[in-house]
Formats: sequence, C-alpha cells, structure tokens
Amino acid sequence: MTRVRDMLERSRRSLLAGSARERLEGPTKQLLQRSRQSVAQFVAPTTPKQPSPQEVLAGVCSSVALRDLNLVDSLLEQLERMEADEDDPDSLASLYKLDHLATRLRRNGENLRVLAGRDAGENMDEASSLVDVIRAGMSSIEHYSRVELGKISNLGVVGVAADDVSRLLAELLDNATSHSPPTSAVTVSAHLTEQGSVMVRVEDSGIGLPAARLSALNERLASTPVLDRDAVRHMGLAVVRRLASRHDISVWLGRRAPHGTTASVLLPESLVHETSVPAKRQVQVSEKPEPARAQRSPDAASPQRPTTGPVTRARAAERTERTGQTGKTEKTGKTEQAEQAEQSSTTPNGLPRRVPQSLKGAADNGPAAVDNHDLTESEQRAGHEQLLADLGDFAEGEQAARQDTPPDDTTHRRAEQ
Amino acid sequence: MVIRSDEPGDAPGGREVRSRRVRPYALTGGRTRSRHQLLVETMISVPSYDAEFAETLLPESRSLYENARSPVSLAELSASLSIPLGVIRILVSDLAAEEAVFIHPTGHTYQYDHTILERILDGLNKLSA
Repeated sequence: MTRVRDMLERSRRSLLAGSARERLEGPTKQLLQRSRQSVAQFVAPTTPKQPSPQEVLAGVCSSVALRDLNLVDSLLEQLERMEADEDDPDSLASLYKLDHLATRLRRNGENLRVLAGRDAGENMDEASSLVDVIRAGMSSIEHYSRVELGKISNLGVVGVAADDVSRLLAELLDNATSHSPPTSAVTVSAHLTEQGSVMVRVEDSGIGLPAARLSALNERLASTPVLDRDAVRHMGLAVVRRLASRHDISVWLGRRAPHGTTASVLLPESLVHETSVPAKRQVQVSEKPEPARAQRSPDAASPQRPTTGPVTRARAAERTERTGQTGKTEKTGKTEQAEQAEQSSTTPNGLPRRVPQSLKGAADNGPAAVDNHDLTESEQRAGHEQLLADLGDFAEGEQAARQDTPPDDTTHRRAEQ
Repeated sequence: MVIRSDEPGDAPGGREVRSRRVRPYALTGGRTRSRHQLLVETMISVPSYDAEFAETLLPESRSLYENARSPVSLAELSASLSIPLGVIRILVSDLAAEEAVFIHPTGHTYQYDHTILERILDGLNKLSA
C-alpha cells in the first residue's frame, strides 16, 4: 500500500513540475492534433456530435421496444402453432384470447418505435392485398369483432408501406370502435379514385365530434409530426401523423350523416399496387426461387391449375402490358416479367403463344429493350436477316424507281406545262 | 449496468421473426364453434359453382369455395391453402349455412343415431335372408 501511495505521490509531483507535460509538447502533440483532425474529417459527417437527451431516450426506448417485439413475435409464432393443432373449440377460444393480447402488445411496441422515429419492423418485398392490410390493422385492436368490411377494391399496397398502412388504420379503427356505442359496427371501405390513389374510409356511428374539435384534430393531422405533450395524450393520433407523413398519406376526419365520424385515408398512387389475384395465389403461380414457398406450391397449385391457369395467364399478360407501357421497373415486376417472358413463347401444349397487338406495338415503338432480351439468339439472327433482306428489296425498288424516273419526270413536267 | 450513450441504435439483426399480420381470430370474428359437425376427414363440395358469388367472398372463403368444386376434405384444404383447421371449420360452416357448399356426411354423423343403425341392421338381415 505504501509503495502505491509513493508512486502516486511521485507522479503527481512530476506532473506538477510539468516534466510530463513537456514531454507531450512538441512532435507528439502535433501528431495527436493531426490524427484528431483526420478522424474528425471521416467521422463528423456521419455521426452527430452529441445526441440530445431526448434523442438518447428515444434510442433507448426503441431499442427496448425492439427486444420486446422479438419476444412477442416468438410468442405469436408459438401461438400460431398451438392454434393450428387445437381441435377443441373452447381451448382454441382461449388461445385466440392470448393471441389477441399478444397482438395488441405487438402494436404497442411498434407504436413506441414509430414515435421514437424508427422503423416499426422490417419491410416486406411483396405487396399485400388491401383486404389483408385492413384486416391486419383490425387484428391489433381491442374491439376487432365490431369492424365490418364494406366494399374493398381488389388492389394491393406496396411492400414498403403495407405494414405501416395497417398500423395507421389500426389506430383509426381503435379510435372509431372505442368512441362509438359498444353494439354498433364500424365500417371500413376502400375504393380506387380517378387519380389512381386509394381512398379508405373508417366510419363509426358514435355521437360525433363538435366542429371546433374536429378542425383542431384535422389541423394536428395535417401538421408536421413532433413529440410534445399532446402526443402523450393522443398517442394514436401522433402515430397516425408520423406514419402518414412518412408515406405521403393524407388523413382527415369528417362528420358522418346522420351521426358519427368518418376517418378518410388517401393512399397516394405510388403506394397502390394493382393486384387482380390475391397475394397468396400470386406467389404460388409466379414465384420459383424461394424454396419454402415452392414446397407449398405443388400440392396447392396442382388441383387448381387446370381451372385457374388460363385466367392467371391472361392476367399475367395484362400485367406485362401494363408494365411495358408505363416502363415501371419494380423489383417484383422485373422477375415476373422475366418469368412471363419465359412462359410466353409457347403455351404448355407447345403451341406458339399469341401476343396481344398492343404489346407488339409497344415493343416496336419505345421500351423494346425488355422484349429484345427475351428473344433467343436464333430468333434475333432471323430478325436481322429479315431486316437485311427487306433493306435489299428496298434498295432494289429504289433503283428501279430511279431508272423509271426520267421518263416519268418528263411526263410529269409535260403535264404541268 | 452500462448504458451506451454514444450510439443508442437498435439491437443487431432487427426483428428476427415475423409473425403473421392478419391473425386467425380476425378471420372468424373470434368464433371457434362451428354450427356443423366438421371433422378433419369431412368432405365438402360445391353443388353449383357461382362465379359471381365467389367474387363477393373474402380471400380465404373464396379459395375454399373454388377449391371445393371437386369434393375435398377439410384436412386437404387446410394444408393446401395453409389456413388453420380451426379457421377452415368456421368458414366452411358459414358457406354451408348459405348453402354454397355441401357437407358430405361421414360415418361419425350416424354414430349415435339409432334409427340409422337399425335400418342398416334391417338391410343386412334382408340381404342374408
């Protein structure tokens, strides 16, 4: 102990004397300074200098929420398995109750992450049908059984936004069901507008909101999202606002005749995915690379194929036509196109497949690149030879015409005179 | 306990598992008890397929309806459509209530029905007589 104390004492004295400091001066200090500068150059643009206490807190919250979500996801997965094996209606009802509680827990965790400015979960690659997006939102609210599905267009929501849209709808549905009589239904409907966007309406038959309150809420919904005292009181609204601004969705509330409130959600065209087939079956028909799904597809698709085959194929053709015209290059669109191109050279019976005239026209005009890739080499060569032959004919024709022209020309002039 | 204040980022990997977004109870409105006795091996079929009616159905019911155009068992439907049996039972029961599908009687249906058993016995006796 005494030796340690001695050493401490000595070092303190030497520091005071400035000998150690002197040693640091000069070249060492310069080197240190230079390295600090170069590190700062590299690091500074990517990381903010000092996160504010609020940012730190938000980070901690979202990190804890993520851990919770991983646990809840595992819990739900386990419940899914138990539900699948359960034969007894009463036990199944109990499992559903647990499932429902866990799903609401999942929603809370995700909302916490949304409020902390993080992604609530990983995005999907595939689009989800509008019906599924709505039912996903419905699954995570308390009074889900009071939600009635009205007319819902057969459309989809793109993968990047599908889950967020259902989270947004969950908040609106929760609001609608908890602010209307417990025996009344809340109706959801969705239709395509003329501009190509989708309007989703959540209608309840509660007592409705006074005009002043309604406009105050709409003002909040339209403003940029911030975390403030009001966000604590109206958690749902804050979540809606954040998710809406993330995807350029407009949300507003209105009065409903004779009484009640209508929440309107306008999904921009960029979020709308045209699906004429439900997502599940689309996967079975078109997706090959993913082995997990491929396993499911044979037994699923084989009894269906003879009946639905031609229809889906026709729809596939429609889809290529659409993508060809608009020149959309979506991730899924590309693979689909490629596969359909494979399919489209011959029918399953080995007959050459007919190509709609409009598709041919599109290929000739502009975005021909897509189609040219799909031609086999021999086909391309044949096309090339045909073109050369045509050019040759044209040249011959032109020469012949030239030889004919002098007399023609003279007759022409004569006629003019 | 150490709280890292420099980078309050997420745990590595993000969300590892993805649970289904549409929960099974949302497909049946929470119902678990079907109005008909529906066993795993119960066969169903669609007596007369109506495309317009199919259009009005929700995706799951619609694929049930389309797949049952030729007689098929509940177990097969559950496996091929990857819909839990508990959900299939309710949806089939709903379709049967609208007379959109026909539930084929199974042996179990007659298990405790004395008149049926007696008729079968009568028939057998007549055969042997």
